[in-house]
Amino acid sequence: MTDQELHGFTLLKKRPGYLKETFEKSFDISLTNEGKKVIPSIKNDEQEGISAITAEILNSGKWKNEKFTEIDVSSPVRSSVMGRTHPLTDIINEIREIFVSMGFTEIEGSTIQSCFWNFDVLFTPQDHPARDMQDTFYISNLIDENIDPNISKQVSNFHTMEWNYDWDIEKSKQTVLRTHTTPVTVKYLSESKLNEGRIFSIGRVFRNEKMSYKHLMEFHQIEGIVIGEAVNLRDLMGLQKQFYSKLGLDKVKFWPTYFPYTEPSLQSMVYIDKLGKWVELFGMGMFRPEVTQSVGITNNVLAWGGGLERIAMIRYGLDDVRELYDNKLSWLRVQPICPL
Amino acid sequence: MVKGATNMPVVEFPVEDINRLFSDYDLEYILDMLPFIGLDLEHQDDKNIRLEYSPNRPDFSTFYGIARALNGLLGKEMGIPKFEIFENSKNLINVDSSVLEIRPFIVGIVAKGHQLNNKTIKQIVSMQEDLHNGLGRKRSKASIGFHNLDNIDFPLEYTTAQNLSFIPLDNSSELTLTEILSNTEPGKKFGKLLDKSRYPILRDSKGNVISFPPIINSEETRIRDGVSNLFVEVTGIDKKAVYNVLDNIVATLADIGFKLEAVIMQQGNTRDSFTANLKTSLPNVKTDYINKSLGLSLSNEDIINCLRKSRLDATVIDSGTINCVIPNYRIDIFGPIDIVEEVAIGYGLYNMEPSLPEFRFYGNKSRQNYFLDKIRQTMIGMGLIENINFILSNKDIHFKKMNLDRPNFFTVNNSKSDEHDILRQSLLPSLLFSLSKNIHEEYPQKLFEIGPIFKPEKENFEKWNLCCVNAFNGVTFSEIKAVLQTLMEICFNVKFETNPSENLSFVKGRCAAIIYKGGVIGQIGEISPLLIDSFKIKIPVAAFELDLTELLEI
Repeated sequence: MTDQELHGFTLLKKRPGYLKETFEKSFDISLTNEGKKVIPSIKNDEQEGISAITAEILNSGKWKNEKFTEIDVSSPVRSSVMGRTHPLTDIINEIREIFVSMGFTEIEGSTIQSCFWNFDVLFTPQDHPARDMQDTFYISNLIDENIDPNISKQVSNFHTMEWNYDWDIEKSKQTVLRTHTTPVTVKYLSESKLNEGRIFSIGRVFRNEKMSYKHLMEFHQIEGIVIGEAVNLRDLMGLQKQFYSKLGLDKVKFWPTYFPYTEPSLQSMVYIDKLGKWVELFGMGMFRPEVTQSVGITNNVLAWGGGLERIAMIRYGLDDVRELYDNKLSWLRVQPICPL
Repeated sequence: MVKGATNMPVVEFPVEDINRLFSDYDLEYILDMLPFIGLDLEHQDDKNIRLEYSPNRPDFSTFYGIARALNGLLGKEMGIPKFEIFENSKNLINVDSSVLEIRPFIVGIVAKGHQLNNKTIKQIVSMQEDLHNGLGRKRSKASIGFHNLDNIDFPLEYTTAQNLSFIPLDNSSELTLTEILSNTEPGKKFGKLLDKSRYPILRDSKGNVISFPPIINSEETRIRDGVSNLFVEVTGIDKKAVYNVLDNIVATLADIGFKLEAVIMQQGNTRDSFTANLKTSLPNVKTDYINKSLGLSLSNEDIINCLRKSRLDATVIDSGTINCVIPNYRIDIFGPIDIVEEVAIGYGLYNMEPSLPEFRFYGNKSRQNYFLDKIRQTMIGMGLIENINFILSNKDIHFKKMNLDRPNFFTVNNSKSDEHDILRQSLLPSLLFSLSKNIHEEYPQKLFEIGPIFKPEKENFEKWNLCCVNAFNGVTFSEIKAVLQTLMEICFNVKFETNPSENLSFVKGRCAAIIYKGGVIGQIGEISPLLIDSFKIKIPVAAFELDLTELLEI
């Protein structure tokens, strides 16, 4: 095109209906030496008839008088390109559905928590090793000044009387990347004063750990809570069994364990057929009275939960948990969505 | 309910210990029972067994303590273990008032008449280490010294000194206190617990220093293979911790087979010794409360039997009330709910039948996740693949590679990983990083991520964002805008505008602010070649990032 033509073209192009654009592509195709070699072995290449079905062939009626050539229906093809959710999202959604089917309602909460909610309300003394900077991510530039004076008075009493030290409100104002989702739960209980019900949450939690094939510094936790006047430890075991059976895990056993904020505390072991062994999954317990009284709940609270990544690893046959966060397309593109 | 990152304490002992103490039982049976008193089998081979135990059970720091609990559960020995502590007026520590402001508490015990071998010494040392770390809070609250009694002459003196010298453990020559602090491993590690002017020391009647707490003992009183008589001292700044530590040691020494003698602490005119308080009576508990918490209907006798199997003592007060007495080495029992757990363990968790509570609730997922699922559905319908990246990121990816200079972000202290020490402010950097890791995979690559990001300057600093990147040869602004438009118009049925804007991460003139209801809720554009270069992506990328918190009012 001349400059003038080009100018005209650009002006006209801005107005719809004046120009008809067509694009043409041309390819030069020739056989490689390798290709020439295999030609004699390809049979049936001289078939007569229609090979590709085009709109023109269909509409003109031409097809009525001709045969369609036969093709090799067994030859391999490339898989379609597909969009997909992350396998971890799929498992989270599955677990969410299980909770909902069991009558649980989902709650959300902040990723950054004050030490007050993450530890103090949960009866974890201020010199507890879990609160050490070696284990917990403290936010260096955020202090939470909004500590509820009524709750903190209760908390201070429990810590001082039972753990036998001087509880310091300043330490509870420090903020951390939550080390578990339980602060979200107790904060919710404190605000809602829910004395009867079922709630759950799924969210990220953090540990200051060196990453390895076994450990991440950031992972997902699920947590289920049942509050009621008459709920008890056997119920907690029963709910847990029901939850596991919905995940396809039917062999469960319970052992005593320790969490600062629950008593009695149990851990569950689940038999995984695929691995041929017992695996430790969720921990559970009844919230201690020090915890429930601090947030104004009078009924029993059953709680269970734990990391999600282990289930994902079993499901996807991973030996290295880091692969879940690698976002390698070679992995993401081929993970089965619901293996039969 | 996730366990702490803190490594759980571990107790290791020879398999033969089980065979010796539980000769009537199969080894397999004993191993199967261990978890039901709260122990996790960590390792087992022909010779040794390693168990993880909870730090609130320091009495499990040797196999002797474990056997004590196991005997209860098996019904072999029940109730609080009985042992006697004899008086011996020779065993005396004079406490000088100068320690009161430095390390005020000391308590001790003498144990006689059992010849130690290396295996038992190993267990004692491991118990000492665990007690130092747990109850002693890395020696800050309490620390322990084990000594060969035969090399000590009572009465002892617990006092302070500025400088003197002795041969510390694992050394061959005398060192001064200051040298110990600056030249030995324990000195360097624990010296910070001491005030630098005067140091606590324990010396015997000949003037020999036997201990420099909480740092180190003297070589002279080292416990060796063949030693039969011990002196144990615990010093500290927290009286309860100091006594609880010795409670645990005393119970274990009694189980090993030592004959115990009290040690008198004399300070001015007050005399005190360890004999008196070995157990504590707790407030009465309603049996109804126990049964209701566990979902059982146990009789008073059943409950008392369960508690005795947990090695506690209990008596019936009236038809609905019991009283429970605990040995002082149990530091984990505060009140009634802890008694409930002891009943459950004594009852045997394997005997508890799971039940299901009445179910009359309707479940719901959160409003936020209702929306996020719909977004995911829309995005994958357009052929995009979801990524999940960590919230913790680093300045290199977030600012340097992004050609941005934004000083305002949250950082975490002491991260063990240099690559993870700030909270991400947007999702785009990680998705670009993701593209850079996938350059050998087939294009087009169309990725999205939904997740929380953190902006310290905002009042609600935690936001949920959606980010989308399209990478292939020939990708354009229109291409990515089409994705955004489908999301906004089809998924949410709302209108939006894209107004020219500038952002150093995008190509100038091909970057826009996403406007919704008059406010900016995101950025869209073709990624600047500077970024393509810094991330080594080698192919054009167009992207948008959207503030979902703002858009969805979640």
